[in-house]
Amino acid sequence: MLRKGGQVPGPAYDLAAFQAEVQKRNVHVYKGRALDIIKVLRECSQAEARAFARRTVLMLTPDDYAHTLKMPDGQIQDVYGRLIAGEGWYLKIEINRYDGQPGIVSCHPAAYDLVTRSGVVPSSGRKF
Amino acid sequence: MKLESGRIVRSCGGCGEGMQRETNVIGMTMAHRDDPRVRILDDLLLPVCDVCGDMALDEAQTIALDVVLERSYRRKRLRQQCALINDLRRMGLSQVQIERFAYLSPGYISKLRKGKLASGATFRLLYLLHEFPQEALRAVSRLDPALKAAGEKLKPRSSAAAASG
Repeated sequence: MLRKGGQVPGPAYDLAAFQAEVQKRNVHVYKGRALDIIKVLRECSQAEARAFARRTVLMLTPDDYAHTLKMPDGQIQDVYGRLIAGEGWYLKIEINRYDGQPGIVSCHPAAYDLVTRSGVVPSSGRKF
Repeated sequence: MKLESGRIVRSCGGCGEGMQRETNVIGMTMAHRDDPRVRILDDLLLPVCDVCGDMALDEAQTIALDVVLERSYRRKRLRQQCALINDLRRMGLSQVQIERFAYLSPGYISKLRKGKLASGATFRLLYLLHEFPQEALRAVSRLDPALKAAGEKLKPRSSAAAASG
């Protein structure tokens, strides 16, 4: 069984700088916890799912920050929560420790309540 | 063609344990459109985690994956729909009767045999008719009595391969 990450102080990454890279399309998006879920929810292609993930990250503000995770291998990831069309969404971003590239690790409806700087983003009630 | 570089692209943020290596994804199955298991039939190198199997894709890789998935989906679906129609014809149903059952335009079945891709709904109707021909024709003949005769004249299913692959 895979180990889970633990929480560390954050945010680790400058959101505006991250969004600038996303704006330039210089970002990789994970398939498992982002593209595949968006594809199912929006009945769309990988490319459309990727565009949705990019748009969602570009909507984030510093007030949406929830917490920071340190993965077993030392990778740091910032978690954000935001209401999208009335539903709580969970977003996790990283600057990859190996190649230095920005990545969207997770982008899906929140499976649990997220405490952000601007308040609680409620769970969507859906599990993926 | 062998495409297996194994080059490490990045660490995997999905599991936080593995490394994503360039891997040829030919033979992998993924969901695409209305099919949850499309087997990729073309060579394509993508970064795949050596622990959890997750991938982190850039824009070009995302588009390339869409292209090979669509091509593989079309090949599988065309093969399936042709097999379904051929089996139904062997059971004694005419193209007109199949079209009538699924409420398709005249000549549509012929187009499907020649390479037009059926919609997900049409494909599922044909699949249902193939799996349960007697029951499906009996039920739909309540809506369209002209189909009643078709159900009565059905031949027993031959050993023809079902279009499940």
